[in-house]
Amino acid sequence: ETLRISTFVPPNHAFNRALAAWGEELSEATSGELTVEIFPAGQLGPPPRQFDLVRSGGADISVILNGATPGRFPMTELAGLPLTHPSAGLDSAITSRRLTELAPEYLAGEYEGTRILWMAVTPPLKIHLSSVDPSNLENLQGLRIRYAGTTWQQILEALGASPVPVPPAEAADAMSRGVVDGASFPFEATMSFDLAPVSEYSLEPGLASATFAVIMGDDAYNRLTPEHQALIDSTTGPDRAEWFGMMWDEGEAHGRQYMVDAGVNIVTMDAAQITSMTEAFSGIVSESIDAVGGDAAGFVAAYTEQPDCGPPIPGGPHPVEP
Amino acid sequence: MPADHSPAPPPKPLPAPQPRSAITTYSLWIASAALTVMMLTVVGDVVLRAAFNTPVQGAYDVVSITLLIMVAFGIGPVIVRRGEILIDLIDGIIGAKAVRILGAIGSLLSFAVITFIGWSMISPAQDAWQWGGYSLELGVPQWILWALAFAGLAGVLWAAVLQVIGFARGQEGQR
Amino acid sequence: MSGFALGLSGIGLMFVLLFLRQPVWLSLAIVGILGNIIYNSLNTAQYVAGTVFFDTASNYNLSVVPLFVLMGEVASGSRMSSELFKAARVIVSGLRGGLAVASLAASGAFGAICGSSVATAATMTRIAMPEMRKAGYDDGYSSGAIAAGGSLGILIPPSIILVIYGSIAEQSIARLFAASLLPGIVLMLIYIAVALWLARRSGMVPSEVSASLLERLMSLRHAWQFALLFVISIGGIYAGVFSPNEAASIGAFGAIVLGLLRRSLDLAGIVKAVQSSVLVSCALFMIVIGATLFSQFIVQTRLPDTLLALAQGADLSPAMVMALIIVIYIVMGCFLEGIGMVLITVPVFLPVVVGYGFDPILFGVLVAVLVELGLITPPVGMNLFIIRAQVPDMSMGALYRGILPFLIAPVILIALIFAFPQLTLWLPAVLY
Ligand code: NA
Ligand code: NA
Repeated sequence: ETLRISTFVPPNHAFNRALAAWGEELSEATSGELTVEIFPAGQLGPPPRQFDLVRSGGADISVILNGATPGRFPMTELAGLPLTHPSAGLDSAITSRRLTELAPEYLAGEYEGTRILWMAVTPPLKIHLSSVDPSNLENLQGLRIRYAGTTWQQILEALGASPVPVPPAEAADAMSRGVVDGASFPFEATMSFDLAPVSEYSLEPGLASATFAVIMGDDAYNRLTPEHQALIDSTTGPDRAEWFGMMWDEGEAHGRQYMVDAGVNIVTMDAAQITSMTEAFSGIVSESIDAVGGDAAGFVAAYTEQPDCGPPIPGGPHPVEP
Repeated sequence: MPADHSPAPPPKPLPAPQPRSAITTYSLWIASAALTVMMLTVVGDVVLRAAFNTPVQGAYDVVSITLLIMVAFGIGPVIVRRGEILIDLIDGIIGAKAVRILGAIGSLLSFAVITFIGWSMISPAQDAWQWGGYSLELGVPQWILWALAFAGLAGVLWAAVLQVIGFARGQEGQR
Repeated sequence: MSGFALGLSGIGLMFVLLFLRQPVWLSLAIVGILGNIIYNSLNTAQYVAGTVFFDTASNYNLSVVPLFVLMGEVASGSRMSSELFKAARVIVSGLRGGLAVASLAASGAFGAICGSSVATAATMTRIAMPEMRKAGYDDGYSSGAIAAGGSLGILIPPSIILVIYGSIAEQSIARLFAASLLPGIVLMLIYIAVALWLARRSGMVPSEVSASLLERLMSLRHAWQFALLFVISIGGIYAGVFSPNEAASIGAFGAIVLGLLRRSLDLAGIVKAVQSSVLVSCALFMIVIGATLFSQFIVQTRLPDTLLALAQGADLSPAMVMALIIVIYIVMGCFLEGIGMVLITVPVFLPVVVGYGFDPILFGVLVAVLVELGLITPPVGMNLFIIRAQVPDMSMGALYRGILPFLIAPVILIALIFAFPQLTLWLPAVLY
């Protein structure tokens, strides 16, 4: 049995490497009876269509970026609210694990026809600036900053900047030509998009994350034998999410080092600045929670509080070859 | 100006479009209006940005939405004018009657494919209604955009019907 | 039936439909839908068919197409472009095939502001085709030069194809752009050489009398308005004021204003220009929709993967694998549209090519050249369709005959890229 996996990220992206590694595990555990076949780079459909693709059977598994379809996954999108993360920290290993733990109770309804294998929360996106020093946050006012997604639009407006939608691949070019004064990206992405040569400052910590869901179609799942279903269940879930988040955290550290090596000044907000930002964003957070309604407040409270499952396990529960 | 070339053969003018039905004529007006709005929005965005450093809010959305309207309403008029691009290599080999039969088959197939596409669009449109996604900048509900797409598609389907009728009555195509 | 056999049958069916003069969009769509139903299920085919129309029609990146078509329509409707060509004709008068040279050079210049070959070819058809007809040029020859010139849009930076390649291959877009600049200029020069060589043959172009230097200089006074538009839109892009999409809008708007000011354009003329832009663009969007359905099916059949696996099983040398990949691209280019071709092939071929020690930047430029070639190879060549959409009284056969001699140019360029890797790798090394 071959599971067809669709992603919209480049072939070398962490998601594809992780899914290939997971596929190896499945294949080894079943002596090659269960294998995966990956269609990367949006070959089977653009980012906003990855969910429909799985639900219609065009692929068995896919990776969806919740922000690509604003309003389609309202509860999930709350995990991408500004400065909203588990109290244990904002590392991807922590946030991805926590969101996956909460998925069955709070999120599953949004993914009807599919099952969530795991959720992935990016390291929060930072603001990178071509020439303005953000040590004084007032300096952000009036700047034109590249963004993607509604939450970042609101964040930038709350900071007094003008949000400008620019495709990621064109961000460095837009910064060098002065079309925008800055861009929001995780450090990990600054390398792929060549941001260091056009950036003079980066502002940390990151302000808000993007969320992803790795989903499998119900039909594809039901097609499997009970043994294979059990294998899928036992190799996905919170442990897998944490393992995947760690890969992202490594990439983030690597990307940060790339910026440092290229001479970019990394400006770190102090506690007082973070508090003032949290205040500036409180309206966005409360309005979003109200707009979603239902158990949104309960979900955000559960997401932001200390996880009760103990500290993360070093090395991850499913060690695999890089 | 110098007399810089030998007497030229008479120019072959491009054929003027011939609207054939009221609905597709209105369709073309709607599509043209959408393209005009698209252009003016982008120009306005550039001018406001240059003059006052305040871009038009939602210009990105307006461009995407007007493009959707232009394409949805512009395809019908293309079909009515037989403006679809095709490869006419065999026209010289087969007779006019065979060309007509192939055209009739094409118009039936077009009708079938467009119907299939329209039928297939019902499910994602229902999703857009049920799940209430919205556009990036202006927050226009997705279902409104789907409704626009369906309205345009109705015109496309009507254009395909006109083609089938035209062939059934034995009218020659424009080319 | 295996995916491989099904994919090949699909391509065969598409050829039959095209040959039986079914519309291009329809042939692509039928094979895409049927293929998906057979390979997957009706449900999957419906998912693709149900979203492709909406997604293509609301794709912001494609908005540059109707806007550039509109700019060309207005410039042509208000006789601005014909004045530019009168000037160009006087300047290159005495040179047999001068208008083709002017059109290729103008395509190169336009390619330097526009990332899309579709837009470049659409604009140049509007500007150059009527003038070449008036001058008594052979239709096939003129359209060959325009279609070939239009393909420069994706090799001379900026380039939509290189942006997509860069994002799949995770290569620097800036480096790719730098790498493709010299090959783009060289390709333009080879095209010009082909055009001049063809012009020496009888019946292609009328002989022209040479103008004096004074007449050549005087002719420039007719071209200033077009030059102004050109400078505003290109200058705006390079000064960082406009994106290509904005340059096209400003160009179209500026052309309308200029046309109204000098009374060569009235309201009826504007309406006509907008309506024909809609019709031309929508005929092209129909093909993009069909091509998306078709590529989505071909991707799933894993056709390129299978071909490559066969080759690798034969234990070939790196050079032979590369040659094979080039042949696969050329063959695929005959029936696939550019973006679909990159999406289908690059994720499969890139790891192999890099594994054999080839430079991914060089491969990116190679892919761009091969996609360019695909745009002008019969039977499915987007640039040929663009000309056909705007000059409907010309037969597809004349177009095919006209483009054939120009096909040699990209092949020569590919040979040059491998003979002199510095052609691609020198500039990025100097700049970065
Ligand atoms: Na270009
Ligand atoms: Na081709």
